[in-house]
Amino acid sequence: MLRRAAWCGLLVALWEAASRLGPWPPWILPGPSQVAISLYELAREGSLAGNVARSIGRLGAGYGLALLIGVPLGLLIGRSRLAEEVVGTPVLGLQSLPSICWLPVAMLWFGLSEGAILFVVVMGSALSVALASQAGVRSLNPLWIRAARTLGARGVGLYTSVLLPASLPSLLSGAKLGWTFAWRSLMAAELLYVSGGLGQLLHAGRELNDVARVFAVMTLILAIGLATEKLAFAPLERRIHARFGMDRE
Amino acid sequence: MSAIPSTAARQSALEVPAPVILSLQGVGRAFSNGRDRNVAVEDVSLDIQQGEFLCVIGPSGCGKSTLLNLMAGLERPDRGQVLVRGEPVRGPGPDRAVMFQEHALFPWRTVAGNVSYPLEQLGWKRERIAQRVEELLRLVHLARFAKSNVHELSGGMRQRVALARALAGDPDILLMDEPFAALDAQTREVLLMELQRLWQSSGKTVVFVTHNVREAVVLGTKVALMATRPGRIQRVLQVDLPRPRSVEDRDVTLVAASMNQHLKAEIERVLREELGDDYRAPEGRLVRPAGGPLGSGI
Ligand SMILES: Nc1ncnc2c1ncn2[C@@H]1O[C@H](COP(=O)(O)OP(=O)(O)O)[C@@H](O)[C@H]1O
Ligand SMILES: [Mg+2]
Repeated sequence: MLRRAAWCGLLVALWEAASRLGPWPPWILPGPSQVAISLYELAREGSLAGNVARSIGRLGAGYGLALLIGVPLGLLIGRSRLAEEVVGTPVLGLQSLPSICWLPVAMLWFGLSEGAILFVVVMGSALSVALASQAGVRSLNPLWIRAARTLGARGVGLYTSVLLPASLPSLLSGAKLGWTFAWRSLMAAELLYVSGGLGQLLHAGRELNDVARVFAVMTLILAIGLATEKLAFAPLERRIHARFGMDRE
Repeated sequence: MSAIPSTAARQSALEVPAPVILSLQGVGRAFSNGRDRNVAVEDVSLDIQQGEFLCVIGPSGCGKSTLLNLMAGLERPDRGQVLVRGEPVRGPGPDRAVMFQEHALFPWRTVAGNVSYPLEQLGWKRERIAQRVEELLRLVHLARFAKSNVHELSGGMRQRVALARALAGDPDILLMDEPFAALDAQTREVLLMELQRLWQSSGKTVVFVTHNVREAVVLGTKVALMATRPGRIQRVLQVDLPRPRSVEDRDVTLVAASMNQHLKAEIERVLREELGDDYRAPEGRLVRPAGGPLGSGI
């Protein structure tokens, strides 16, 4: 932990040095000190908090929807032959489509609205969540299902009391994957489609020719991603792995 | 009548026989993969009385698990029928609990959570479940581990939890598929004792599948010997030794030895069929036809 912090500090120092001592003018490669100042200015202008909240709100809605669609869909195609044959291949195919490709269609369908961005985020994330859930259900120990049946589980109860909790480890990795996809799709959509959010701040920084500002927003995007991983997913993962007795290696 | 004391046989002549709780009538089950048809169980007819401890023994692959799964309702018979108290079995039910060779516990639940699972399925109230779970965990000497995770327990402890879970809904019939096969000898010995004690005090009907002859003799009131391919019951022997029995008991050893002869004959027959001319019986252990003094056949 300490070693890692030291290494990060060293990287930041190197960055600063490269910015100051390099053969390029500092506005091409602003150092961390300039980026920090830029970030501070952004915050003082008052647009930062609103845009961050906007992006996170969109992410929350889109990602939440993606989980609500993806998990049941994955459980279904993992369990039922028929469902697998009917929707398995389309899901697999569509999942390989970069989610930003949905933006033009989304704009035609939903107009220049929040709906369009939400749609892109959901399409970018729900299918990968579904595929991970499917893989999770497929790899379950069939003995659990047999045991549950002899212990009185039936129908939907079998799903909620065995299939769902038993696939928790793979559902979690699916959820993580889905989150990164949702985050990327959102940033791409916001960059292309001007209506607030961090992506738009990034875009605005470019229009102003202000590399420090672009870097500042990028740092923020990075920090949000990292914080989600460390504060939300990592503890959840630790708990699930401890419960299941899985080593982290 | 050499090895088995026949006092119990005399006693049972005086008693009213217990009612038949589980009955297999001409049951058959085959699996087909591609062209091959593998008859796992053929034409098995068997009546199991209430309170009986029936051990089913036979070489690996002879159809023991299939037979047990048919009783559990996890498999459907192709032919014949499985009756519980005269009613055909249509699937798993709370009157029949199953224990598998691998513990089949749910790793996402704690020990107590595993034991409470069947009670939740029955729709019991929270407090009643908690009370019952505590009672069950005491019964299998695991009260201290109620909050532990499954992976923190030893193999023997896991099977105890599985036993507590199986007993939770108070089933009339306990179906056990080689539950102690993966345990070390000492742990198994202890569990064999406890299972006898539990069975004696509960009056439950147990069907216990094993490939270990001594285990069968220690546990069973009756031992059914299975033959391979097609899987069928060759004969059912009664064991009338006093309880509690231990694997080390002289009488157990004697009875087990004579049963072993039977099984060896069967295994050699199968090997001969499978390997054809390549197989030669080991010196001095020639196959001999089923028969001889093995106890009071029924
Ligand atoms: N689900 C199944 N599909 C195909 N074959 C099976 C299945 N279950 C059992 N068998 C076959 O039936 C035979 C008996 O198996 P089993 O009942 O597991 O024997 P045992 O428990 O005595 O080892 C074996 O030849 C096995 O390969
Ligand atoms: Mg078996």
